[in-house]
Amino acid sequence: MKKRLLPSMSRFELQILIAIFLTSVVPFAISLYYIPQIVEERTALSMHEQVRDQLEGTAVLYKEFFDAKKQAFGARTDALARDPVLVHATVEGTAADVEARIRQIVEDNRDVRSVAVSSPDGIAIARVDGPPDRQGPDLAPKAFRHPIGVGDVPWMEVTFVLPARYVSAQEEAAEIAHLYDASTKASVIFQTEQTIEYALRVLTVLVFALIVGYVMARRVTRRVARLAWATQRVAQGDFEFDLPIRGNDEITQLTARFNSMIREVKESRDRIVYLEKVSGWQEFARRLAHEIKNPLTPIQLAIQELRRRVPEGVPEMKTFVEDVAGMVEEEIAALTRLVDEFSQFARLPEVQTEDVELKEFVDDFLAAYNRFEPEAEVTVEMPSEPVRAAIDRVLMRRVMANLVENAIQAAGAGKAKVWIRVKARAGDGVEIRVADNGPGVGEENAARIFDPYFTTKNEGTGLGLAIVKKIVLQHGGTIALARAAEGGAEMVINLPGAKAAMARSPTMG
Amino acid sequence: MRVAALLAAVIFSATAVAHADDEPAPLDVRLSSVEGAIAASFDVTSAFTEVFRKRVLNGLRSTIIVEVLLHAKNGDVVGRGLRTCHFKLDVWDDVLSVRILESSRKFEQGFSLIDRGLRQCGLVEELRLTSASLFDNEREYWAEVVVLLNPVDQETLQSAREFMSNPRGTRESRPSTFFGAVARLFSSETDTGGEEFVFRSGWMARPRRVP
Repeated sequence: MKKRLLPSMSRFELQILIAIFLTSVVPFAISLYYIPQIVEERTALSMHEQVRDQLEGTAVLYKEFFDAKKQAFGARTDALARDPVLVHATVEGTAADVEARIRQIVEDNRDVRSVAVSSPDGIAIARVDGPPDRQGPDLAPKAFRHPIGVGDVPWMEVTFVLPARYVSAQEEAAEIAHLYDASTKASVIFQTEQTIEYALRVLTVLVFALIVGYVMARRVTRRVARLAWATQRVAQGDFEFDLPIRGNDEITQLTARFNSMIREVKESRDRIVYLEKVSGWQEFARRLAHEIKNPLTPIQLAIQELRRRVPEGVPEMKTFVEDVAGMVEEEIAALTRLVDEFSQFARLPEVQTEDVELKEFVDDFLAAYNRFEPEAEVTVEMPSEPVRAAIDRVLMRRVMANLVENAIQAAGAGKAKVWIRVKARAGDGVEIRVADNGPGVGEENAARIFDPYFTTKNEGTGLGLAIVKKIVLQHGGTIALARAAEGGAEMVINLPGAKAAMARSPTMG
Repeated sequence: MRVAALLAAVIFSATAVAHADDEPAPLDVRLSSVEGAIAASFDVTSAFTEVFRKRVLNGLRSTIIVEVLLHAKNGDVVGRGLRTCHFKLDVWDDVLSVRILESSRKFEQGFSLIDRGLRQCGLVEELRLTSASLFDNEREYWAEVVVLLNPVDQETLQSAREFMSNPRGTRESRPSTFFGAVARLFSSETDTGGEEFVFRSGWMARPRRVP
């Protein structure tokens, strides 16, 4: 298609787009109605005040556990400070005695990291650290101080340990409780955000689906719009285009059939136009032949009478009359031949088709003309399998004879080479090609060679190819001029196959 | 211990405290000029309820937001200051970690005495409100102070988002999606939740030494 006159968006395309839009937007609108409800329900499912209270209760429980633990450690420190052996060692013993006792205390208490004893003014008396397994970072230490005895007495400091994971577990519990509480308070914000986020996601999918849907639909709608546009052009009498064939679907098939239909309509129209034109010329030829033929007989008789009345004994006169009479009779003979051709053209018989095997037909035709020897060397190329067509043997033989004689005239008698090629076309049809090694037909004449009375020959009437074309058209076929591979002209005849031709009509008029 | 107990009694006597729905309670606010800015000093520890204190004592994370709006005589807001306090108690060592954030300064300290830590937040000293150059000598001002106990501030809100998207903590925190970021543009992310108390100062003149 050369011209692009399609509107940017056809009504059909718009309707499809609206349909896609509605198909997408309606579920989107419905989902917009339900999304907040779903989000709210989901939030209600995941947010419970009881859960929050339990989480906070867990953190508080840890706190109470630590308080109890610290209270117990304090009490044990108090008890250790009252240890009689330790009290005696601090009062009457040496620093070594104190150290021995607190070492025993460290050994006896597995949750004690270290014990230290210092004087009332803070000077260290003894200190014992527990084994290395009580010194690691996986234990959380806590120191408790208590006087050893009453009054101005030394102090002991006991450092207890607890698995540090208890502390981190409390921190984690407190953090989770804090975040859950915040989540509960911010649930409205979260609902709003989730609703908007979900709507945005759906909207994005919707837009994407719309674009994809539009692009895909456009591939169909554009082709339908093209078909509609093409029908408009056909209605305006324009057959000079082909719609592009794309894809492999029903619309592609429709487009291909539409193209085929346009070609057939165009061929039919051309055929009708040509046949009407030729009919007019036939009528003209018939009248012309009649008008020319009528005076020829009196002229012929007059010449004969003139010859008869020439006086004897006047040789110069006799010679003169004979010369003139001869010239007139030659012209009469020429006119008679012309009239005969006009008459033949005017009285072309109707086509009477029959199912014919073309190899046999071509053989018979060449035999009838003695293969046109010695004027030409005719080569026949036929497929091995039989090729059948519905033709009028007599008229088609006339077609072939005309084409071969034209080829011989073009190439020159004696040196002409002619190829007759027959083959079956795809579907039900046959193709007959008559090619020669002549100079071919000039482009300036190619368009007119089938017009009646158009000739490039000195002695031609210009009726031969017109008759040929009319016969071919009457067979429901076409004829076209092409350039032969051998360099000369090539006439290409396409005829419907036997089945198609019989289906059309047994008699083609 | 006596001092602490006395302090606690003062703090939580719950006098002159007004909830958001009530009439604003009177509050003594002092304006001063600090480095070219107008600053406010006041004490809102009276707003820290016993429930809140107990919550802190139980080792639960807590937050306080103190917002000051300085109004001109015609009611226009001419200055704004914000203080955010985060409390975190180490229940094993009994140390209250207090983190205070203001627009121009940051403060973090551990307190063995819980009430001292709370007072550190409630006793606001020279909170920057606005540039001193915007003030008119002839005008009078009053301050509105809003105290929010355990609101959901922006930092907590973001943490809560991450927590809700990955409550089990079994995977890396989900990065904020494009749609999530866009959705947040449409949601009103103001501090939400919590108990609110409102105070109002009397009329105040501009600080004397404004450049």
